[in-house]
Amino acid sequence: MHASYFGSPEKPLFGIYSPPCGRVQRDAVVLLCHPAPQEYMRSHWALRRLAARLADEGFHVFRFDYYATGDSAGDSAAGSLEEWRQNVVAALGEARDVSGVRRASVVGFGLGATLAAQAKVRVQDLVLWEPVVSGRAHLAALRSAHERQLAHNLQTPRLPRHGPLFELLGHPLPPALQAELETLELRRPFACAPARILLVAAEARPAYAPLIDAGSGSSARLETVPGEQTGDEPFLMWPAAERRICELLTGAAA
Amino acid sequence: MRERACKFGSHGGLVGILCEPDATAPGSPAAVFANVGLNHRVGPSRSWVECARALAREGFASLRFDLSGLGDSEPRSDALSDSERAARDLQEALDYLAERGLARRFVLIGNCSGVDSLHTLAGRDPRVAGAVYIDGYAYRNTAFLWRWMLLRWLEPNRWLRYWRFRGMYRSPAATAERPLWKREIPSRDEFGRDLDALVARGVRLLFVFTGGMGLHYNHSSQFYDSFGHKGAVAVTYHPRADHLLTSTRERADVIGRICGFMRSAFPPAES
Repeated sequence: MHASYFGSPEKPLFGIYSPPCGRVQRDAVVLLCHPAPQEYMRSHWALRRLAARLADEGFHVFRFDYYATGDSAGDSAAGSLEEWRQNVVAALGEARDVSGVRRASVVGFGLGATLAAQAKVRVQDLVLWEPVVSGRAHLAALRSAHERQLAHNLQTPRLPRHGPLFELLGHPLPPALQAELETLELRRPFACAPARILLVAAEARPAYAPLIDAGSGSSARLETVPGEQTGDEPFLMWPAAERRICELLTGAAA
Repeated sequence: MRERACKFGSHGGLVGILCEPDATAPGSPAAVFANVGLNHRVGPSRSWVECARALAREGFASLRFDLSGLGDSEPRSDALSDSERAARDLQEALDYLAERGLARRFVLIGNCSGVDSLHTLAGRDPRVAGAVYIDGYAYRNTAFLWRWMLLRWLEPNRWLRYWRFRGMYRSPAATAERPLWKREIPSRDEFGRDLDALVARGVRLLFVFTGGMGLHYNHSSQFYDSFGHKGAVAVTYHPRADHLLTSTRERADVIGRICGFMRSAFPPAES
């Protein structure tokens, strides 16, 4: 595992490259996209485990922190969806450079899946793991999680009922980012133009229907993986989904 | 300010971020942050990143890293207890900074269970010049119980909260599950003795308490009432903050207090 900063000197991004460590070495790199920023901490351990599992299967794996999140540069209030989409492009370039391979796939979780789908990159496989389809619904879910998380705290500052929230689940939410999220919609065709789309979720929700094709042999299909994905646990623990994603990518790259 | 990733430790598997100011006064201590529970080195709501960068603006270098087996760090193969393994990792972080000439003395900063290894190492490593305990150890006293039994029912917020979150709130007893690890919390007497020894050694200490510790700490003077050392030990109480410093305003306030503590405890002229 090699940790380093990459990107422009003004806005360096933190990335971790995991080289293949199994018996086989595949000529493919997988980029993992965290959700940002509210669900970043929650999903870090799951994506770290997925990275280790994929590296064991012979993939080159790269994961990174978006600008203004995690260990990357930037004030916590400075992030934007457009900047994060550009970060996906930069991270994929870095992943190809450090691994030395061109064939790439992307796995994104939550908002990270949505950003990956909308980034202007060329990838083989795109794995959308519980993607955010509607930014407005995502904001409502985060708001509800915020209130549940702080329900026990006697002096919890209340979120405004309408208008700018300014912060959510411990992270600043500047009005510009909130406006971007409120208008966010995930629709096909995706900018990343993948050869294959795999949507991994706990259940087949109506919102996913436009993202997949009918028929089991289609190039855009849904894989339901049972999991305790309620959003309330402080850390995402969904090993069955990690295992299934690994199987799907392994089958594609074998 | 510049940041760079590093790997260190006797097994070469500890991953961290060095945060260095543009200029450091000779002899300035470096701050060291480790995990808060299972949160990786970034800290809950990015609190350690924000604190490290604020300290860099004050001229203090820092290292935030993952203990072995947590975050991005590799597990150790030795059979140490959780607390001993964490203290060993922390000691190796100090060794790494010292070997590279980045600092010779250190201020350890921890939150919640993260103070356990900090407290262990502070007691036995003379290089530790300061420590910040955020919601670490709190011990109830008579004044606490008086407030707990009587005054809390007079707080309008308590009744408002009951109305707002009725049906949503689950008591800690209802949600209790088997803990992932067992904390070794010193008894009140043990902690008092440890505190006396640290103060006698000249270790500068800051204790931060939040409203998230309401079951154990509920008024600003509780620490001094229990252990004394007023003037030698800094204490700050943030009843509006929760345990993980979720509120951005409260988090900024706590980070500001930590920076103020570092400025006054380790001024450049003293270095």
